[in-house]
Amino acid sequence: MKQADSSVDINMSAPAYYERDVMVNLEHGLHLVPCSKIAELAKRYSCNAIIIKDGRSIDAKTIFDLMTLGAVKGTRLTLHCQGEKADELIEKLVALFESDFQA
Amino acid sequence: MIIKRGIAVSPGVVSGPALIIGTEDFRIPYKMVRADVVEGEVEKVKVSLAKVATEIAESERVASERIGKQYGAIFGAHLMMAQDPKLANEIEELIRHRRFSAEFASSQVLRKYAKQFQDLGDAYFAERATDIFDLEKRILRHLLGERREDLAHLTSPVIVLSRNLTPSETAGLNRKYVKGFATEIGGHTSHTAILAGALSLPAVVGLGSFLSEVSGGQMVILDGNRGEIIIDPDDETLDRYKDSAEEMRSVRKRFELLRGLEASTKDGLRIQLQGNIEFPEETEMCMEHGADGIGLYRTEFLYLGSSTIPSEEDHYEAYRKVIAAMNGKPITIRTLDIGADKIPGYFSHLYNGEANAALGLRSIRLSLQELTLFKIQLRAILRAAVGADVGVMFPLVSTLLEFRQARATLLDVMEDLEEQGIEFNRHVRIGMMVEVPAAAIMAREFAAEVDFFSVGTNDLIQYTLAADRSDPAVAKWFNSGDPAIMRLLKNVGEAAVEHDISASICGQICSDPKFIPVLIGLKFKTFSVSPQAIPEIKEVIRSLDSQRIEEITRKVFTFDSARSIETYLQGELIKLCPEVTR
Repeated sequence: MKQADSSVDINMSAPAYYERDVMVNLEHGLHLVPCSKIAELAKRYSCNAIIIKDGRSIDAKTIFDLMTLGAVKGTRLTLHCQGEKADELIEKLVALFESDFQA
Repeated sequence: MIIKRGIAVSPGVVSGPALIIGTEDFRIPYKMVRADVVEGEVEKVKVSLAKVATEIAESERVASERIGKQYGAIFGAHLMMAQDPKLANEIEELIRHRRFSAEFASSQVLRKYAKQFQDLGDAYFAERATDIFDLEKRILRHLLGERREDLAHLTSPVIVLSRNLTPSETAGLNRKYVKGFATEIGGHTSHTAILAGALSLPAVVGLGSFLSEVSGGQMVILDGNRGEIIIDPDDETLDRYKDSAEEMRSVRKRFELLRGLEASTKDGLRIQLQGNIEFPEETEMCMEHGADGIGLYRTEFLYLGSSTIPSEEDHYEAYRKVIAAMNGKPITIRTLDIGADKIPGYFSHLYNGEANAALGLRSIRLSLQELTLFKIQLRAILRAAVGADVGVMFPLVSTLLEFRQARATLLDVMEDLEEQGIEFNRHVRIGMMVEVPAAAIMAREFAAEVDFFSVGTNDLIQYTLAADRSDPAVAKWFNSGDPAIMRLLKNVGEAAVEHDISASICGQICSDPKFIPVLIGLKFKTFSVSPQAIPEIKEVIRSLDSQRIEEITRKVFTFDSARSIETYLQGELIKLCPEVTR
């Protein structure tokens, strides 16, 4: 398991903390439209949502950061969600990736 | 009625309603604001972002309804960007902490992201920078309170009026509806002007500030022969222009008679009169005017026309088209000459906006750095050249080492093709553009190694006289007739004779009839001009003989200023060919 960037505050002792690995299967990678779907979904929740790629972590609620991940097809990403309804959000995010953003 | 005078860069007279393209060119200047207006600037950004969001939401709705949900989703993503609090926060921070103006701060933040996308190294992501620029335009449109009418959605004939047009915007003009264009800035030999000539699109540039005096839809006459635009012309003027259109037609008829005649002087010195082209379609005009070949085939359109890197097949097809159309006549293909005012998006990471592009990483320098790309082009040229007389010309060569490196790359590519058993022409001529003063000075050393010279006078003049060709403030230094230029040309011509290689000129100077006698006198025997200039230049060549040429050339070298040289040459031209007057 990859560690989150130290600049992102993840309180391991908090109860509602979830982590999942996903794979980018999209032909053109995590481009503008899928990024907007992630941000749109994440923004509906008050919990934190972080995506980690190669040790760099970004806020899943901002489309600009998501785009700068440059996650091409075949990239492995780690999702972190913590806070209220974090379990629900992480399931939905994983579903988004697994359905190749058709969901 | 208002008459404005500028620089005539592409002939022809057209009239029609004006289409004004917004004066903001989206290169927002650095601007700081006073502390007491900071709050106001922050508020302006918030209001603009909100308006942009409403606008995009509307685009999303329309696109989804009319063309499908997947297209609407693109605007959905734009909407997410406009509403991303990170964007607003970063802009606000630049305004508060660095006192940037609202528009400069917005532009800075968005361009930072655009650059990050481009730097990701993946073509598909790099292209998303365009989405950022789109958002930038929308925001700036609100902040600056101006509107950029869209060139892409024309449905009726117009005359385009603009502060400036980039070469790619010019190339992208819809020729069905755009009858001509006029710009406030730009000079004689800017690439936009050259492109206009290539497209046979009447154009006037360097008009100075005039956009505030005309409104969209107003009747405009654009006179590309005299370099004038007439806004809201009166009846008398309209009639006068009808008459001069008749006159133009009779001159054309006379030129048509020249088509089948050779470009030789009275005493039989044969000059090769070739055409400069950019697009394969232009070969038609060259053949129509009886060109002896293509002396300069510019290949930038392959790179500027699309946002992705052209494939070997894209190159090959374009070259084959030209080779087939020219029916055995010689063709000189110039390798990538990008830089300065023309940089496609996928190269932008190599440039930082502040540096002096004319003295930067352009042309052959770029090709030798991006060898993979360079080899794609060379492979296509070698393959396309099978059974044809083709020259490969490297632009902007400044040192012998650079030429050798470029030639070695070409030989490498030949070896690869050989190994792969792919058919190619191993006897292509290998030459160079002489356009850097260093190369003109070292002409003898170069002449021992190259198959041919082609002098690009536009850049040679710009570099020799240190005058930016597109800057009206220094345009008076940019003179083809400068004695320093005459001396450099003399050196190049003599070096070519000593080493028995061909020396041609492909710059604008040889499309100007008054220079023809002295250029022949300096030992240049091939001229490559814009296709539409061929008949006129041919007429001048046919009026000359060796004695006149020698006299004129000797006399030119007695003058010490561009003005006296050009005045003298103009006077001689009137004596030689009274019909050809400029």
